[in-house]
Amino acid sequence: MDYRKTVELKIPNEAGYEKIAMKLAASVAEGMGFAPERVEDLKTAVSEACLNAMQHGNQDDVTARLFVILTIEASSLAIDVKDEGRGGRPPETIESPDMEKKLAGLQKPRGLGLFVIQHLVDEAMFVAPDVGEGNQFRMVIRLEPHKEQSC
Amino acid sequence: MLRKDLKVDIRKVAGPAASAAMQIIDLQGDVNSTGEAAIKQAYNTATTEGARHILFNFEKVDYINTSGIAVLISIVMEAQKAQQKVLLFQVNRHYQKIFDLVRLPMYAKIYNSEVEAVAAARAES
Repeated sequence: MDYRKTVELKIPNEAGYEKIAMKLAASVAEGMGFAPERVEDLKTAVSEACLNAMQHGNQDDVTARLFVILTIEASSLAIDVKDEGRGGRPPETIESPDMEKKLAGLQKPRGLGLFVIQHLVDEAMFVAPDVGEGNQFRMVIRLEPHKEQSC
Repeated sequence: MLRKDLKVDIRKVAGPAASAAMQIIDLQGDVNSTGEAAIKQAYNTATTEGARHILFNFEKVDYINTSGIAVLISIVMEAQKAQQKVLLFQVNRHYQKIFDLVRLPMYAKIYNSEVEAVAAARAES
């Protein structure tokens, strides 16, 4: 049986609207039976991915388009955040920031978003866009049957 | 529209031992890049008044993003240069986890309550 279902959301490219994507992702994840702690992790990951797309992929242009696509499968949830790719090609790998340097003032304190996301979800990577051009960032969380209550 | 603009208040610790050397910055709303000016202004005010320990209260914060964490890191950096101590309290469990990820507690310890944070600051004074 094919369990795959998708939910698509288009939000304004303006900080604050990432909260709509957070709430949608949380609602779906809760419905799938993810534990509350993992739902919180997912909310932060979705927020950071949207803000990253707004700032870098769409260069803070309020007219740019930003899509959030949730793909629900039997035991996993994928969230794709798609921007217009105006900031150029995304990084091929997500590098860990040097926190000691940041906290010592030797590196700018910003640039933490992708690093944080990587620690909150099971998979996080830029992928080739499903449709058209731009950047597409994919996050996946998987249900852990021993820890979570399946619905 | 969806942002909860950050409201920032400064106060001294209540009681007879109240001193400008220990000040509490109460945060209410979203801790993100738009709150930067308000947080920095509060920090600068506390510093001008002679604060040696600056305690940030997260009780009424339910949204923090990495731009907001970057603001906190920059405050911690400034405080280090000025030989001040920054303490954080009532950070919810999820954001404690995020702060741990970026190793913020190495430079700004997190306490469960204002009472605990004040006691720790007093013990260092």
